[in-house]
Amino acid sequence: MGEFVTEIKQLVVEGEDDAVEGVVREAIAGGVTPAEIIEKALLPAIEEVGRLWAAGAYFIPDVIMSADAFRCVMKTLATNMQLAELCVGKVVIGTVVGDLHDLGKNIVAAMLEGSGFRVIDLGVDVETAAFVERCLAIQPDILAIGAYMSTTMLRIPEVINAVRAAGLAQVKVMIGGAPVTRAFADEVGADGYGEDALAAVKVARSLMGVRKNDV
Amino acid sequence: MTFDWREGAARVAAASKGTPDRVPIIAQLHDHAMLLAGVSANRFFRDAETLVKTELAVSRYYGLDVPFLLFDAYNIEAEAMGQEIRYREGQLPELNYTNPLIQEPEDFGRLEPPEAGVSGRMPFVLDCMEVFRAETGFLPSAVFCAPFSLAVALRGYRNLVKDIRRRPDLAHRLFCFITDEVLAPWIGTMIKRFPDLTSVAGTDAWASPPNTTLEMMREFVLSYTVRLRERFGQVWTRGYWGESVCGNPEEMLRLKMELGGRSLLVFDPDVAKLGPMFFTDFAVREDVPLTIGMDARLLRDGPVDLIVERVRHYVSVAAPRGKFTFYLANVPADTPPEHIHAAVAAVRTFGQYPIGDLAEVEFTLPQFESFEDFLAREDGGGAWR
Repeated sequence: MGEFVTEIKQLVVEGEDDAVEGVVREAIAGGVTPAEIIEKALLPAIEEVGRLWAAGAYFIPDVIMSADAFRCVMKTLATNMQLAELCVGKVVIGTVVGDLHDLGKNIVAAMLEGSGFRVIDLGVDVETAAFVERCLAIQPDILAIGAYMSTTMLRIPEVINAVRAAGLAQVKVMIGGAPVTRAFADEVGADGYGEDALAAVKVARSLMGVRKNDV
Repeated sequence: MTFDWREGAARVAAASKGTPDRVPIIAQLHDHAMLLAGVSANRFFRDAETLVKTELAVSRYYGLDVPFLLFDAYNIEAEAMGQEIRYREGQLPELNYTNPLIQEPEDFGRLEPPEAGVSGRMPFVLDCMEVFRAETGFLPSAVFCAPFSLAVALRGYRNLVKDIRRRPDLAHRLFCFITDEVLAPWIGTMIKRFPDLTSVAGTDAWASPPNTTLEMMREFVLSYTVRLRERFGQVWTRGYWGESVCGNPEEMLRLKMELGGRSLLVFDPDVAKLGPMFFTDFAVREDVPLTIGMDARLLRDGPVDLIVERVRHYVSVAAPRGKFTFYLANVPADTPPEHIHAAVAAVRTFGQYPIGDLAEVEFTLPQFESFEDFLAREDGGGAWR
């Protein structure tokens, strides 16, 4: 198992999405469980990417390549029935109406998937009513709202209020995006705020009460 | 010409060479101007007279030294090529980056360059330049979307960086197409229409760390700026930020000078993180003028006291040697006018040469006048709206 997880971790950190799929299949065929792949390879890979990002050694292209490799691993694991049991929580994610920026949202979604969340991505330019409708249908643990312009950021409280008004008080709301600040998150009553994608993962896991290295 | 901008223009020119009477203050406030004046986005970004007269009135309202011609410069060429764009009230028009024209490499072969000066809103840009000159007496810079940012618009950022990492030949083919078949004809058209142009500037914030690495900037940004410069002479690309996250800020500043000419334009949060002294020392060593763009979030969110203290700090460090301009960069649309007035007044107060110990200088907030009252007093109520 050790060699497989080390190789998977390394390929994810290096963003080798083409290569990692085959190794994951080999690992599963060799008896490594999805839980072990997530716990021993993906979570340490996320931590390593976070460390490299914080150290200034990784740039957004590096994070994108790693995020794609995360996605590839999760897609491969998703064929295994055991995966549903490993889900840390369900996250609905999208950007507010009027906002067409998908870069930050996509990275957050990929990182959340890589850390064990089931992510339902509503895409960009999501009407407030659509956020509510999908949250009522999906009953997520977390609603992650992104806004990447100072004008669209102002739609975030509208979404939060609508979700609360729909009786979804149990849904934790986390927000993020370039113009969003912690002060703004506090002001609009968000449960969590992530300054970047890697912080968003920590916040999401914290909202779910997940301790470091728990799966 | 409805207002004489020559005094401010002379101050800005003097600050690029030495010490004027005070630090000049300039700003980037297009969608803010639109919202403040209550002009619809659809009209503002399509009607040259409306855009220029709105921006000039708002620049006068805030007491800026010179106005700039500002429009959604990242959209023009891509929109002219058929890239989906959405117009919404109260916002800058926004390209749909999630649905790029080049979704798959084979889409690239189907891409047609725009008809320079004719397609999309290119005529609007030419009209804006004409109106701006008529209203101010100055011909503005010809502005275009620089190759990297245009490549992002047409290919999508994620696809583009994956191409650069995995298929660099394909990426270079796209950059050559953009440079030679889209931008060169467009720049040529602007130069032909305005033969007395002194500045052609590409805007390129997408090509900044951490969106790019310094190596990517050299290979995919600088080389194509140089390619345009070799063809047209004084072509520069600007808007780069990210010194605080690039790993080697001095190298990045040198790269910025290769891209943007012998002057430095730097922004918060890089200035706040690295400190204004870092940038001032570099500018002194290189003997180049320095422009610092203040934190747009701080300007929007305030409070006024913090805005004033930020201005005091930056002016006290960067201004004493001269060759310094203060810039309110990318002013958010919903910024309270009181905050902008406070920042401008602070620059005017602290930026008087010679600059002494600014801790001793008292600052008094100017009496606030609404934009509507200003228009009624100065501009006949803003009949151009």
